[in-house]
Amino acid sequence: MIKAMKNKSLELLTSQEVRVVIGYEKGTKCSTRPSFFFLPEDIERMVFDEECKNNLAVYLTKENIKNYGRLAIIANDKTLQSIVKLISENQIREDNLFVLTPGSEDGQVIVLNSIEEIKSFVNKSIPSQKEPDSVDELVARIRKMSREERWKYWQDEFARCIRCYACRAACPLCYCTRCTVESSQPQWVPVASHVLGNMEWHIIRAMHMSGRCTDCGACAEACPVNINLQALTRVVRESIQDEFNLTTEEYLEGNNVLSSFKPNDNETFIR
Amino acid sequence: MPTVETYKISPVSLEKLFYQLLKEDRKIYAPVRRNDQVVFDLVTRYEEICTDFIQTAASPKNLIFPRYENLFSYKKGKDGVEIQQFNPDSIPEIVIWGLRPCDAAGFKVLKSLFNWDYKDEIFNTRLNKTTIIGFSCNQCDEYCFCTSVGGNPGNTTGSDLLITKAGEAGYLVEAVTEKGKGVIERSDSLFESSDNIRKEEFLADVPVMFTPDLLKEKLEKVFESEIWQQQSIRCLGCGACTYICPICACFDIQDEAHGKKGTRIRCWDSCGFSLFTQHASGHNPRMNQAQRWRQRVMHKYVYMPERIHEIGCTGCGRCSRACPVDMNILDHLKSILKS
Amino acid sequence: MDFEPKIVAFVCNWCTYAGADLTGTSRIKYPVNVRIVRFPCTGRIDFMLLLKAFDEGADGIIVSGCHPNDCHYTSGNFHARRRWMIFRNLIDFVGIDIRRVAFSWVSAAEGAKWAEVVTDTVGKIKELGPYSEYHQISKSFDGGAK
Repeated sequence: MIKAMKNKSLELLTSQEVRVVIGYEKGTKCSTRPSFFFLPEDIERMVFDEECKNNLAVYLTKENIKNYGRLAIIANDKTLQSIVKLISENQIREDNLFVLTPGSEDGQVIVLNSIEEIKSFVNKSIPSQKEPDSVDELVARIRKMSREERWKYWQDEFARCIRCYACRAACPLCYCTRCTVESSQPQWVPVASHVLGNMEWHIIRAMHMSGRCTDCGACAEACPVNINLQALTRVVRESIQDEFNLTTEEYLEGNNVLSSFKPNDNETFIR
Repeated sequence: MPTVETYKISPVSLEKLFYQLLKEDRKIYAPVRRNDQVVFDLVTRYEEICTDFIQTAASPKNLIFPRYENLFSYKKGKDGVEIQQFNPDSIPEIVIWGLRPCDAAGFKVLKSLFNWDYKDEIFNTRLNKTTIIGFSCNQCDEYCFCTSVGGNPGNTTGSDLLITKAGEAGYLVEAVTEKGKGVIERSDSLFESSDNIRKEEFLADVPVMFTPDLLKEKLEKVFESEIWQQQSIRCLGCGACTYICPICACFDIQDEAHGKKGTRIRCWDSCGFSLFTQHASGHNPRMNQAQRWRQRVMHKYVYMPERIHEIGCTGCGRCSRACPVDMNILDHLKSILKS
Repeated sequence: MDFEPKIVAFVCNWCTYAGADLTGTSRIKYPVNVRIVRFPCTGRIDFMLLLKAFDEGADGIIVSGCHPNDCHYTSGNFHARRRWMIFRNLIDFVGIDIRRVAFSWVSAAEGAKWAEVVTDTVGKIKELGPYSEYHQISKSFDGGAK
């Protein structure tokens, strides 16, 4: 597949269809890392396999990347879902983007370059039933705790946060150029990384991601102090699915959950 | 420069030394395993201490230069403003046990930084009340490069005591400072003569990649180079690298007000953030990530050597390990040298 | 001394605030523990305000506005409702005591209902006691050094 991926990338670069291909190269140790391929001879460096975990969609909204105009991106499943969400939030111009993604057949690479193509591909490729992962296990474990235990658990987690904002930086959907956490009039969130400020930051982050998070886990992956951040966004996502009864397709492509409503939204706690 | 005194200590006596220090009513911070990472935390039992690791996730700099610290608190009353200064006497005596020589060396750089022109009393008090017991490295990985920035796996710089595991039978102890010698005097029955242990035999082999002078010379010539843009294009602009670095010490001063009371707090800040240099007018002199990345590298390897005669990097490799997009500093420095 | 809880009520201008006014003009008595903060609409009540209220010492919170379909701005309360549904689930997961946050729809004609909402909430918070668990976190800052 990497061969086909390289060939397609090379084709797009040599025909000057795109200015740059965003993909992966070999990183330190056995890892891979995001890389930018400008010249046909750069393509040699390109790698693509299961180890390519970074969600490259994070680069699509960056000003300096957008300035390149037409570009191609190598997309794994996570990247694809983020791209669909970014399109639904009007953050990507489809005529500027080629998406290269592995197809179902061995060694096949699919090139998508319209919103419709991307959307229908993603809808077909999302599994209807998801296998429970370690985040689900953690969420279930926390849900079984008493309220006091949950409080204690999260206080300990938040106390470790150093507020480097790697969770924000790594998230493709956290593309605001001015973030609420840096607003100083009013100062919503204390700058100091004490547990109160940290808790407020993580609640804000999860709330602002609600209806938008594609559950790619880039936030947790980026966290240098291993806070289980994905548990927070997973809970928000689950409660959206449960409360508003949305399919994944509606979730990804529809209006943002919190900026839309149904008159008969059903709750049980308002008197 | 006081002479270094060397001793030998058996594994059993080392444990006794730990409990002796605890008995002296000192808090001991040491590497422990928490949440799939090795981090510095308060330790009360010797068995908890983790020794089999390359480097902790975050540096122990927060023990002396905390993530946030109160400088003073104020209260507005009828008779004006009442200010309560932070009382350095409230700082406890602590021991940092088991840190790597690169982290210990980091404290020496921080000391120069916090005494460059203004003498930072809070920092100095914390450092004076801290006993630093370093442990030499007997293993390293591909992120380590202490030997390229003036350090080495058995470097005594910054440690009060440096302990090197010399086989199974015991440890070589080097008392570097008066504070370190004090520790030995207070428990001298635990120590034996060092029997000419050859320390070098027990140290990790960290290859030398370049010399700091060569790097500085090169960096001074590439300020306007395209290379900063090429290297930083994948940088996400978070502050993880600076926050876990043993030397990065940029901070922000914040007031946290609750009605008529409030606290002035010094908090960590990072040159990786776009807001770090943003002016109130909206103008940002470091307008893109390439300039921010260049600043980080230049500050460490050019500006700090010029101003405080210390390299702002001890080669611990943490920034490379922590980076979500693998901005490997060693790779980047090597490619700058090659350019 | 008996515990007198501090309750902050975030209410909308058009329904609940007017309703609370009616409670007063109708001479209906209710506990004095509540501090009312008036907003243009429930849609304007940012969830951060609730956290700030706890941080500043509130033991309980009331959020109240127009009944569904009665919003002065047509849909502010519908949007707010969705936000609270998610927010409540999230803070419950984080361990914040959601029994301390009461939500209600109180119209401009429901002076009596406002008195009931306040009385019940105050009674419940009195049972729960001061929210010291939350108030303590801002007091426990150790200046960063453990």
